[in-house]
Amino acid sequence: MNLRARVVGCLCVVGLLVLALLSACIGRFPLQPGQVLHALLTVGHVPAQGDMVHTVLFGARLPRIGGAMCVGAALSVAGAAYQAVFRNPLVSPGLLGVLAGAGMGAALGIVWGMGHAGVAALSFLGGLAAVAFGVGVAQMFDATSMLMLIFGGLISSALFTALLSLLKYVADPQNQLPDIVFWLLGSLTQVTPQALVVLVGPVVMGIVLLSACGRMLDGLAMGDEEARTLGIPVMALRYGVIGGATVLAAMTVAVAGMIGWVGLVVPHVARLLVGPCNMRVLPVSACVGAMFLLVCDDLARTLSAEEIPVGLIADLLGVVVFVAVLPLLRRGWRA
Amino acid sequence: MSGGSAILRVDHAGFHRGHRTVLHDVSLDIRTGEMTALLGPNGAGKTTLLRLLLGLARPDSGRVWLDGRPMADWSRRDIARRIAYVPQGHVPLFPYSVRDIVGMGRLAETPFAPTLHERDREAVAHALAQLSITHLAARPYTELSGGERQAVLLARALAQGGQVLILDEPETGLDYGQKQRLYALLRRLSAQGRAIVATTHDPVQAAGIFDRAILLRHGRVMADGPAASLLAPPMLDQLYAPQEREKN
Repeated sequence: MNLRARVVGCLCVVGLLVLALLSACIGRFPLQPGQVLHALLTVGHVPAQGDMVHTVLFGARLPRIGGAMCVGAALSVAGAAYQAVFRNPLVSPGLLGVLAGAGMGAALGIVWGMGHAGVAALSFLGGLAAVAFGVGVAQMFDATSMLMLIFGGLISSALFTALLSLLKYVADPQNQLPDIVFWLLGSLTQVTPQALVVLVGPVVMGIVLLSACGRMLDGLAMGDEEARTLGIPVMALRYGVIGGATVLAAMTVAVAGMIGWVGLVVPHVARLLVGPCNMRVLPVSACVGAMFLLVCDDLARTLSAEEIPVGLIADLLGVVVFVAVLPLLRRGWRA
Repeated sequence: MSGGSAILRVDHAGFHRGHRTVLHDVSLDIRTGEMTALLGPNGAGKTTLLRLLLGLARPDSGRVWLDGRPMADWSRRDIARRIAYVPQGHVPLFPYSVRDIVGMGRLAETPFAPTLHERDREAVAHALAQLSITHLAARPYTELSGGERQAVLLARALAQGGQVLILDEPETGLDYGQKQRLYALLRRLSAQGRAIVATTHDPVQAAGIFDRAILLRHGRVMADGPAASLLAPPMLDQLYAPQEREKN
């Protein structure tokens, strides 16, 4: 690994920790960094009754910070993996329909009157079902064609978006429809310590596994046939990476609703920082994505008295970042 | 002919694309230490034959053998350890450095390693030095000229190793000096025992460079023999004569 990548990697990790500490301090009940650090260092001790610092930090703020980091990292790595597999810098994790399917699954859960866990489970399954449908459509015609895979994804996205619209149409406009709309806007308010425990393991494992495929994904950039002559099992790699990235993206929607732009923009920022090699792009994307969504969530919590959906902030900030880095990116692309 | 043992064998191979027969009953051996040129007019089946030799396509009839075993029995990784390929120059979307591209030649050895191992780095450095392109190592591949890209792809194949080197029109985009250096390198590799197979559209040059020529026309082997004697006017006139519609 070259010196620049090492420096960037260290800065990303330190920056993420500092940002997490600052995020833990800000909110309606402000905390001092010393209070946060003290609470973290005495985490094994039984807190005094009425210890607000402990209650705010461990009951609400840290799970939310952890959720933002996991969701941001997962979406960014999924986006980087999709861009590598499809050899296209404009691809985002929603290409094969995972976001549309997960949104539809969540809406179905809300219309059926399920609790949060049920809605999240249906959302996750909806995301997987949408991608499975898109891949199935592609395989009916030509399993080896990337173009067919993209067409399959377009068909799947259109179908599940239509089903989502249908569910919105039949939903109770007083109770269910606002819930669906709020879910689709994306929010981290529902991240509980229990949900975070479920989320962390698979997200970390997904990031590690996809990063381990980084050098083979670089080989894939040379084209399928050339990649095969380099010893890469192209179909197994492609579908394995799509599967891993899909699970990551579906989990984010299940936990936090629809959050766009992160999976598209962050991998580009990572490439600017460490170059195009996926072995470096994927872990750096995870760090930058975690920081990006942490900043978005801090803004969502603090910009106004009423909390703003984090998906909205991510969309707006994502556009600003993308416009800012586009001139730099274009120099690197073959365009 | 100067070749050693047969490392690749095509045995009565036929290949169809839709209703069109691309290769008819093709049989040939590729031998270690021999430079073989594959010639023929456009559409003669050269690319398809290369794909069979690389294990990228399976014949509809007949078999391809690698090192005494059917090609279909080898894993992609094991094929890549034995056969390196130099495609015609192209440009990936992302600006990988020359070192990154040449390092891809080591994927068959260490596919999951986070970085290249010491042995891989040595292979990359040696390949860059053999092509005299060490000074380009940090440059983005996307910013190189056609000839430099061709050299980088050849360096990647050298880093990959293996006993067989297959090249698809390697002289495309090269100037006279680059061609001479390329052929000198191929001769050296052949003398070290590698089997070299290259498609070419330059029979005059190939006659002086290659040991052996295989002439393909209408998907059939029209002739297979010493390059110097085969690549002469009567045979070349016949090979490149205007093609009438083939009856299949």
